[in-house]
Amino acid sequence: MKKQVLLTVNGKPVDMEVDARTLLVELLRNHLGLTGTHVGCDTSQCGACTVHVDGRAVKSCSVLAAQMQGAKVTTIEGLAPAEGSFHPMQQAFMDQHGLQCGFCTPGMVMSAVDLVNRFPNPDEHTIREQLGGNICRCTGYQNIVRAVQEAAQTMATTTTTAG
Amino acid sequence: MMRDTPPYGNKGERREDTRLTTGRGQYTDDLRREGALHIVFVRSAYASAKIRSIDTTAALASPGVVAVLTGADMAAAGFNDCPTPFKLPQGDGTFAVETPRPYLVRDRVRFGGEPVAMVLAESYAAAQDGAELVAVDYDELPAVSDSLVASAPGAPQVWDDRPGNVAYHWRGGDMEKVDAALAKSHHVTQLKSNVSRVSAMPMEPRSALAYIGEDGRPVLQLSHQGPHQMRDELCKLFELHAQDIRVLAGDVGGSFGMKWGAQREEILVFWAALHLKRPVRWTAMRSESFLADEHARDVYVTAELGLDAQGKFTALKVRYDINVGGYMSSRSSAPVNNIGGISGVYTTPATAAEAFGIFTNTQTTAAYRGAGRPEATYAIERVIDVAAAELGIDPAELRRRNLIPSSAMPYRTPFLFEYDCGDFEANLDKALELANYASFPQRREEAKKRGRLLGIGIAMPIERAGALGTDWTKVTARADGTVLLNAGAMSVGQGHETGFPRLVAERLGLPFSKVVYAQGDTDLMKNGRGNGGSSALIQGGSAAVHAVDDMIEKGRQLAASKLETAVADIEYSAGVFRVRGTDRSIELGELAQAAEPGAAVLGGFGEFTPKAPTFPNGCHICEVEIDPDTGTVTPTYYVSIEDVGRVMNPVIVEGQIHGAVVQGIGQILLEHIRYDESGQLVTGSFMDYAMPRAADMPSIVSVNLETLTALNPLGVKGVGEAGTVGALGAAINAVCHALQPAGIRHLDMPATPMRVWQALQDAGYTGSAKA
Repeated sequence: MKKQVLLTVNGKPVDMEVDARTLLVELLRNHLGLTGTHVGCDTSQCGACTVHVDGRAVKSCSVLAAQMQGAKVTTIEGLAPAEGSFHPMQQAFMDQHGLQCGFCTPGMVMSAVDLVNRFPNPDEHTIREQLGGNICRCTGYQNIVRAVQEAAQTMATTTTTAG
Repeated sequence: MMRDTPPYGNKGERREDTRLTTGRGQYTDDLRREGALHIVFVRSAYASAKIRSIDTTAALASPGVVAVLTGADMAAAGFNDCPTPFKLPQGDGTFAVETPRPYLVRDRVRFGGEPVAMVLAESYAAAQDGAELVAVDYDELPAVSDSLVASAPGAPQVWDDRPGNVAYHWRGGDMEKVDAALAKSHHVTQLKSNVSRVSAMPMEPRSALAYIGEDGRPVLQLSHQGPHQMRDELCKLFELHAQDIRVLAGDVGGSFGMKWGAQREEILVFWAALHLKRPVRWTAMRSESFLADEHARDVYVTAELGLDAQGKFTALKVRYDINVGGYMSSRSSAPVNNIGGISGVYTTPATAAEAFGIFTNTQTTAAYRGAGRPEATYAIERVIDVAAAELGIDPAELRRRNLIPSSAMPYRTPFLFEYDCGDFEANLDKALELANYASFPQRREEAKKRGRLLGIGIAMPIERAGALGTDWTKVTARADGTVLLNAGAMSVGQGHETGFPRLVAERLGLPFSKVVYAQGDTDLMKNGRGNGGSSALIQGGSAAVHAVDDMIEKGRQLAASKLETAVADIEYSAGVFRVRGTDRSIELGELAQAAEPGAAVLGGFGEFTPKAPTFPNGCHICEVEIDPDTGTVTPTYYVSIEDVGRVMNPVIVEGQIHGAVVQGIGQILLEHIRYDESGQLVTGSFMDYAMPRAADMPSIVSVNLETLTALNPLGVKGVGEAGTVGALGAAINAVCHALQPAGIRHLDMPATPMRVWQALQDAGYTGSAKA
C-alpha cells in the first residue's frame, strides 16, 4: 500500500509517495539521502535516529513517514544556522571531545538541543537523566555532559534556535 | 589555542569531528550503490539441531526476491568452511586445532542464530518478506549453554570428535612449585568466581557492501578494524592476488576488538556479489548483532593465593574454564593469550595457571576491549581483596606489602611476562590520595546512618600491549607543500585522523594543517596492521617516526643534488632543506615538485615491530553505594591512575580512559549476555541487555603518571584497553566491599539490583534504611 506524504525537511518541502510501512528514518536515509540520521537498534532504545519534529526530539525509527503529514522535520544536516557553520551544540561536542566514533553523535546532539530547550540551565544530574534515551558506547558520557553544559551556556547567550 | 608541541591536548581540534557532528560521516550503510541487492539472513531458531531440509521455493516466488542461497549453493561453488586456522599448545605436548565452521550451516546447527540461508532482494523489506518464507526443517538436539554443565559427564556433545566438549587444555608456569608453596603457606585464600559473558555492541552494527569496481576488480567496503587483514583472508579464500581486490573501511562506528577477522557474514556478502555479479549489501539489525556478533569473556576463574604470616604472597594458582562457544578459531584463545596479567604488579615468587576451553551451544567468544586482560587482572585483584578480608588486613596495605618496587625494573615475573618499567607504588599512592581513601571509614559510617552500604574497591591493572607484529606508515611530500600521511593503523573512533598528523607535523616542523591523513584503503597501503591490542601509537606511531626520518633523509639527498652540494651539508628544519650556514635553501613542496614534475614522489616509508611488549599499568579505585532495600548499586566515585607511557594527547587519552572504564563498570553493574538451558539467547536486544546510560555512570577522575618505555621511539605504552582492564576488578571489589558488613564474602558480576537484593536476603541482612 502506498501513501502520499507531504512534510518539510530541513526547511524544504517534501511531497512523496512511499510504502505505508516506511518509517520516518527510512524516508530520511533511503529516499532523501539524509544519512546523518543513523539506525543503531531496532527497539527504539539507542536514540541514534533522533531528529526534531516540530521542534521536539523524536526517535525517527518509532514513527511512520505517513504520520508526518504537515510536520516540520529537522535532521542533523539541517541543525546549523547556515552552511559551513555549526549549532552551539555541535560546536560544544567538538570543543569538549564529546564524541569518538561519532555514530551516536547526530542523535545525541539532537536530543541534547531539545534537552537545553526544555532545561535552559541543566545541572549534571539533569543532563544525565535526560539523555537516558541515547546510548553512547565510546565516551563514557562524561565529555558529552561537559558539551551539553558548554552549549547550554552558549545557547543562553545567542539567538540561535533549533528547528 | 592550538599548540604545536606535545602534549597537544587541544580541545576541539579533532578533524573528524566537523563531519561527524554535522551528519556528513560516511559509515558503510550510508553508501548507496545503484542496483544493490539487500541481504537478510535466515538464522537457526534452535541452539542445537540437525537440518533435514531447506525449502526456498516460496521465498524465491516472493516479490522482489532475486536469489536464496544456502550452504549447498556455496559448496557447489567450492566453498565449504571459513578459514579459521588455530593451533594452541596444550599441557600434554599436543596442539588444539580449530573446528570447521561453515559459512551457511549445511547439516548441523551448533548455536542459536547461526545463518542457514541468505535471501537477496531488490529492497530490504522484500528480503525480509522472503526470509520469512524460507522453510527449514530441523531435528532439534539437546543443547548446553553453560561451560561447567558442558564439562560434566553425560552433557550433550557439541562436536562428536571433541570428547567432553574440551576445546583445549593449556598449562603454563611451574605448577609443582606452586603446589608446594601453597602447601607451606601460612594462609591460602581460594575463590571460585565468574567473569560474565558480554558483547562489544559498538553503536554502528556490522555492515558490508560488495560490488565490482569501475576497474573490474571486486571491492568490499565494510565496517571493520582491519581492512588489510580482511583483504588477506579474501585473497586466500578466493585465490586472488592482493592487487586484484580492494577492501575499504570508511568511518567506523566503534569496534572494540569485535570487528576483526573474517566473520562469516562479511565473506558471504563478498561471495554473493561475485556469484550474482551484482552489488550486494548487508547491515545487521541490532537484534541480529546480539546473535551474530562474537561475544566475549565468559570465564569461570578459580584462584588460590598463598600468603605468609606477614601477608607476603607466596604463590598464585589460577584455573580458567572458558566458554569457547560452538566453534573454535584463532579468536578463541583471547583469555589464554593475555593470562600473564594474573601476576599483577606483585612479587609473588611462584605462579602457574591452566585453562580449559569448553564447547557449548552458544555464540563463539572472542576479543572485546581487553581480550583476556580484564579477566587476568580481575583474577588476581579479586582474590587479593578476599584474602585481605580473611586476614583482617587493609586491602591497600596488603597490596603495598607485595608491590614490585620500581628499583627492581626490568622485572621478570615467574609467569610469562617481563615488565620493562613502571612505578606501581606511585600509582597506588596517587589513587589513595585522590580517592580520600584514609577517610573512607567516616564516609561509610555516614552512609550507614542513612541505611546505605558503602564500599571501596582497588584494582592495580597491568597488561601487555603492542606485542602483536608490525605496522607500516607512509608519508609523501606533495608539490603544494602538504604531506600525505598513509597509516596502516585504523581509527575506529579513537581519533588517529588528528593524532597521527599531529605527530608527523611536529616531526617535520610543519603546521598541523599541512598534513593530510588517509587510512582504511588497501589500495593506498600495501600492508596495515589495523586496530587492536592498544598498539596504534606503539607500532603505527613509531612507524610514522621512521617514515618521517626516511623522507627527510631522501629529501636531503635530493636537495644536495639540486643545490649542488654534499648531502652532509644539508640540514632540514620546518619544511626547508638548507645548505648549512648559508641562505641557499629549497622547500619541501618545491623539492617534491622537482623530484618528478606533476607527481609527488618524495616520500618516506616506515615500519616498526616492537622487540618486546609494553606494559601499561595503573591503580583504579571505585566507590559504590548500595541501597539494601532495592539492591541498587550507585557508583559514586571513580579514579583511574594510569601509566600509559608518554601521553601524546591528554584529551584523547582521557577520552579513551572514560569510555573504557564505563565499559568495565557496565559489565560489573548492568550488562550480561544470557542463554537459557536450551541455548536460547534471552538477552537479544537493548530491551534486555542493559547498556550503560549516562545516568548509570559516575564522572571519572583520570590522571596520567608517565614512566617512559624505551621499547619504542615515542615512549608510549598503549591506552585503548587500560580503562577496562582496571575497571572490572575495581568495581566488583567495591560492590563486594560494600556487602561485607552483611557477611557476604563474594558476589559474582553483574551486580544487578535483583542479584544484590537476593544476596542480602540470603545473608539475612536486616540493616536497611527502614530498620
